[in-house]
Amino acid sequence: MIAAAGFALLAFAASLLTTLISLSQRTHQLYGQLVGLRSLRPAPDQGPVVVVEATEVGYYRASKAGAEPLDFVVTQLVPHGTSQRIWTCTTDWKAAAMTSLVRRAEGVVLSRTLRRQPKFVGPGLLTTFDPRPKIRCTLALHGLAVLVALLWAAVALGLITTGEPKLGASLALACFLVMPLVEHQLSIQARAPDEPGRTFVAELSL
Amino acid sequence: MAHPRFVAWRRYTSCLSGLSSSVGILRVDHGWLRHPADRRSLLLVTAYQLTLFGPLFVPELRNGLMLIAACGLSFLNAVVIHNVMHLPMFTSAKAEAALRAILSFGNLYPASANIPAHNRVHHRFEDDGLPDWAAPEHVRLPHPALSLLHFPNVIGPRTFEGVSRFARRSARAEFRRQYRFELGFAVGLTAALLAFDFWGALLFVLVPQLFGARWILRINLLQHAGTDPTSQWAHSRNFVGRLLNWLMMNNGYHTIHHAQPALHWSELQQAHQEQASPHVDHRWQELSLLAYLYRLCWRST
Repeated sequence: MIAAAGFALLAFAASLLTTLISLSQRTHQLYGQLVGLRSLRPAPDQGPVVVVEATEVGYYRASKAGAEPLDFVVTQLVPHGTSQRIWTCTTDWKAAAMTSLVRRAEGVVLSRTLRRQPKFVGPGLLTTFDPRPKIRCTLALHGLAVLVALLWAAVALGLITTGEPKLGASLALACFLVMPLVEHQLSIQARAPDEPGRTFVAELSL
Repeated sequence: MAHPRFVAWRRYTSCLSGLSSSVGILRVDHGWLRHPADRRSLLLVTAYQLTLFGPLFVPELRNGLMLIAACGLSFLNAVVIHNVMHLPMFTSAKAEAALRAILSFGNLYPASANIPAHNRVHHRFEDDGLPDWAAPEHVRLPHPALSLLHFPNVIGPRTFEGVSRFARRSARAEFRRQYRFELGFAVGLTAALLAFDFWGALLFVLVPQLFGARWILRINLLQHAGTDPTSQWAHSRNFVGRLLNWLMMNNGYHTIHHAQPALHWSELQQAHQEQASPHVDHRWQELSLLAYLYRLCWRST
């Protein structure tokens, strides 16, 4: 019985540890994004994030005769106004290149490529915004999650060792089951630095 | 050109339609089992259920050995889930539904979740071009051993989010009904056992259930990490040791499983040797899972 309990606690602790490492890793990445965005201050009329309106999930190519085509992936459907629309954005340095490319091209054509048949889906639409407030918020949520997880584990361990083993074990189990869900939600949040009311997810490959 | 794993899926569905027409013949040959080799699957599932319920009612059985046996059998229970969700075990639909409920209890997740998560997305990439929910790339911790440890924490929620999306948008009512039945049975019975004997059920039921459910997800990482999903013969890592494959019902022959998902597990070894092995690079054919695990965790290769 003691061996079994030890095994269970060890498994829970290992899972909690890797969750904390994962959260810390992403916290570091988010911090890096913030620092990067600070050093890459855009021109007043041009944000570091490009938002392109499209109509379907998939691989896209922004192209214009004479300009280098730009491939990117739209990965999430987002409700916008009365219709369902899809947006994509990026916060890395390539955003600046994409912005200038798209701005140079009049009537940008987004075509589905790489997957199924190429299909014309209409002109691109460009808007910009500052993603930093959202990243700061996500960063704070990650820190909070780490603190809550540590506190939760400490309370569970405390209860187990001070005469409330059932309650402590239940708390440890709940922590084991809930923390991955919290981490999952935070990973979605971290992938989607956006302005209020919109969600953006993107990967950009040149 | 169509994706090789999609081509494999097309072959799979055509095999399944052929199988449904031959069910009558199989029933005559093997009675209530569609394939005689599934006696081993049934034996493993029965042994696993005994290791779960035994310690609850016989306190003398509450020891480390029983826990280790239950954890090992729990993983095999998850392998059986994988197998029966590709090819049903029984000729009777009711018996199959009951088996799925029992298997779901064994790993505390609905066996039917495999239909969208494994059969459709992992084999067929049917999620609108998005990556496999259980793709190894989803977890990148500083060391492979940490990634392996953490893998179920990331893949579990991703998978259930995807399964819920599938149930909401695409699934037939029959799927939703069976999914709810399996979920209710698994969670309900586990909760009842916890209420009956908290410590016994927590340590000797819940821990093995979660152990198997988490390791079957980790197997995805072991079988696909570093491979090329667009390649015909290099999309999977095979573990070809005889003992392991006897225990895991040939689950190590993964390339041929992707090429022919409708092939019964008992026929995978021969098919691997005849069809896959000549084409698969030696890098993707490991003799021992344990040796690979050792290299992954301690030598990071």
